[in-house]
Amino acid sequence: MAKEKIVKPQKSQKTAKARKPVPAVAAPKRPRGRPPKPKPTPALAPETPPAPQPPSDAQGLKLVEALLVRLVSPLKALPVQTAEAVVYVRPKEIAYITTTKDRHILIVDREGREWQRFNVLKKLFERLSPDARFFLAHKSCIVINIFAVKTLRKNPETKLNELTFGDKVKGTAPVSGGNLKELRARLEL
Amino acid sequence: MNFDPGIIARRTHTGFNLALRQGEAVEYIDSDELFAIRQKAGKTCAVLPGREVQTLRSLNKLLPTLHKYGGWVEIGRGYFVNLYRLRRSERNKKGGGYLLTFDDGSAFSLLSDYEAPILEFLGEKSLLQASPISFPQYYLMQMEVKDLVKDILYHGCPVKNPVLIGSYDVQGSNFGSTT
Repeated sequence: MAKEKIVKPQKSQKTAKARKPVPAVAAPKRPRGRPPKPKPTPALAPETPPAPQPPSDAQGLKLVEALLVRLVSPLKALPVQTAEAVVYVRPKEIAYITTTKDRHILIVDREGREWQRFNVLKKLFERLSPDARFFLAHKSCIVINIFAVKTLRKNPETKLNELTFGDKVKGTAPVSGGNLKELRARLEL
Repeated sequence: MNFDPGIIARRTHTGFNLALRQGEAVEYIDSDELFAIRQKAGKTCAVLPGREVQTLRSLNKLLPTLHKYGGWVEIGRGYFVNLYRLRRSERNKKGGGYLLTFDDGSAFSLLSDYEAPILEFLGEKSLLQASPISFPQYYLMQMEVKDLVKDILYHGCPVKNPVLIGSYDVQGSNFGSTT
């Protein structure tokens, strides 16, 4: 039998030249044994919120002014017309203000009495706006006294949010959806 | 914002104290309860709900305090009223001038010459008409229609059983509302 020569494929010189011997690099020694336990760090003090800075003079004045307005109405009595005389209604007595079909202003007080004025609601609201208790609940027809509100409910028939003002006041005041969020904030709901 | 003097004192009923003569004793009341202070036969009297009592101090000594707190206006010679308790103003039917009605129903006549400081305090042009006023109302009042049995405020809808509106109840429950 003829021995078959197994011819090993010769490596080309190029490849031999390309492969350079890698110098032996000392591998980093693995630490032996158990890894050391991490040292307990000293407990950090619980983070305290930074102390609030005292308000500046202007901010303090505004704050005092807001508190004063909440405590006392800065407005004087609102004159309303009757056939014989002028009657003065105090702002704290007003439950809500709305408009009639004749485009007059109807003021309903907490006792359920109704009074009329003959100007525009927007101008009247501008006059009442320094007092924080008055809120424009509906764009076109309602200004309410927040401190006189008894309930806020959703009417199942009309699906509108309504405000009531106690047993003596028969009417209700609708609240528009756009103003509801602000009203809830003012009522602290 | 401008705050009127004495707003917190009025709200918390802690105004100045006024000494009143009660025989040998002296009674102290809060200024918030007062409706008027007036001179009568050389004596100074405080008008309170349902009574009138002589004060310990004279009016001249009380005047600086009244001016300091604000809202006290002269409506006649030696006659000062607390406008924060004013409820109603109308024409005086018995004589000239106006009739001012206060919270408890007590009424004081106002002379026309003393009208200006009250109008300035209230920020109004007239004590008989709340401006702006509707034209039907304005013309009726210009014609001096005094006893109105028609509900002219609701002139749009006729009233079957007219009720005299604007009538004043002494109990203080009805100040002439339109209901």
